Amino acid sequence: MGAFDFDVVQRSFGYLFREGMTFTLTLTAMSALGGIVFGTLLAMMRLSSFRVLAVVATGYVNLMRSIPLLLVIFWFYFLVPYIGAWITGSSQPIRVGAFASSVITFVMFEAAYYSEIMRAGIPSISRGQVSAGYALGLNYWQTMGTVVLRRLSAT
Amino acid sequence: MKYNWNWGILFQTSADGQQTWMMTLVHGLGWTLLAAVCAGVIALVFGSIVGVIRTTPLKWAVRLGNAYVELFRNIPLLVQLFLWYFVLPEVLPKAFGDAIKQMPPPWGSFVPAVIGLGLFTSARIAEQVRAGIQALPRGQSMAGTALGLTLPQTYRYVVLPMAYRIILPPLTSETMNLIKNTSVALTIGLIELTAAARSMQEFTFQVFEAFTAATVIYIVVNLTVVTLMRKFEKSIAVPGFIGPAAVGGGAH
Repeated sequence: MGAFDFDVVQRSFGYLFREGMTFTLTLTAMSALGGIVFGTLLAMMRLSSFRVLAVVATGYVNLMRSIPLLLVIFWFYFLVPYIGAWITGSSQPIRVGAFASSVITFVMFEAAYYSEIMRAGIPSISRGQVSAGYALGLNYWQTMGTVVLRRLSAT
Repeated sequence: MKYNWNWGILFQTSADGQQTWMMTLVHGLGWTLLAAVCAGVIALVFGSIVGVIRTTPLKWAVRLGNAYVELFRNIPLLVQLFLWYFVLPEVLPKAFGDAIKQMPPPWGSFVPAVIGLGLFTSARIAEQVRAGIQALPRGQSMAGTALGLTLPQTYRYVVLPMAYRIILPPLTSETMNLIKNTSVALTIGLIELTAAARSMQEFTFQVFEAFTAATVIYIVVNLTVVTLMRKFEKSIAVPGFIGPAAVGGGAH
């Protein structure tokens, strides 16, 4: 116990907090934001009356929920360069930094979890409210945006 | 973009020259499951004790239980494993610490991984046990007292049998989480499923075959767990009280 050198904490204070903690918080904020956006879209897909959309979203969420985050991180770290190359049409895998790769991973992983929270919340808003939205002449997106999601964010 | 798919790699001899890569992954799965089962037992025992303590009328015990839960829930699992693996042998008396460090290879990382995962999960289970007990109408424990049961008897015969039935669905997802969380143990050197897939990827460069195989194995394991727990839930449901259908309804 005497061999401990707690002074090292003080010496690396700047590194710990200015860099380490800032990085953690940035990553958390970015992936939470992205996760909420994509999670909401996923939840709407799962509850949509288009069966194909619902099946795709359900499959995605169940897949994400049944494999470890670490495995998802590995997957995307290796997969994103290939997808990037496929999109840009280049013959070599493109370079993606660890940061971009981790943000993408967290957004895709968190989206699955947020969508489950959203999906549990959306049916709790009574059908009458949605019907009221349609009765007022709002279309699907207006109803979703101004009635359902507005109510959901309050709960 | 070119990627050379080669599924045959799974049946080729692995880096140790003795077994196929498929068997390497299966061995990894074995460690994943063993770690999950051992940690699960620790988690269930400690989680139940702490969860029950937090519902007793003893104020100081409740505070102690709350502190336990907050401590293990608020430190990332990765940091907890590092503490058990790197820091604990240094804090203990020297002879004891050295004995821990000299444990033969898989056990040297297996034991800290199981302790860390077990205690981390126990805090989450304690939270669910507490919620399950408090979800019961107060009248039930009062009825126990009115019948002349002591506090331990009330818990044993009245409260806990119903509370465990209520929390079975969240316990199922906690079991799935535990199986997935064992992958974090690769950072302290346990060759479980994710680590096995990663070493396969590093030796063969067949990235997507290795990770696809691991992904499929995880999905199969988790589906099995969910199916078994559903069956178990149905078999122990008390007719008229809490059936799978009533839990799904969520209104209680």
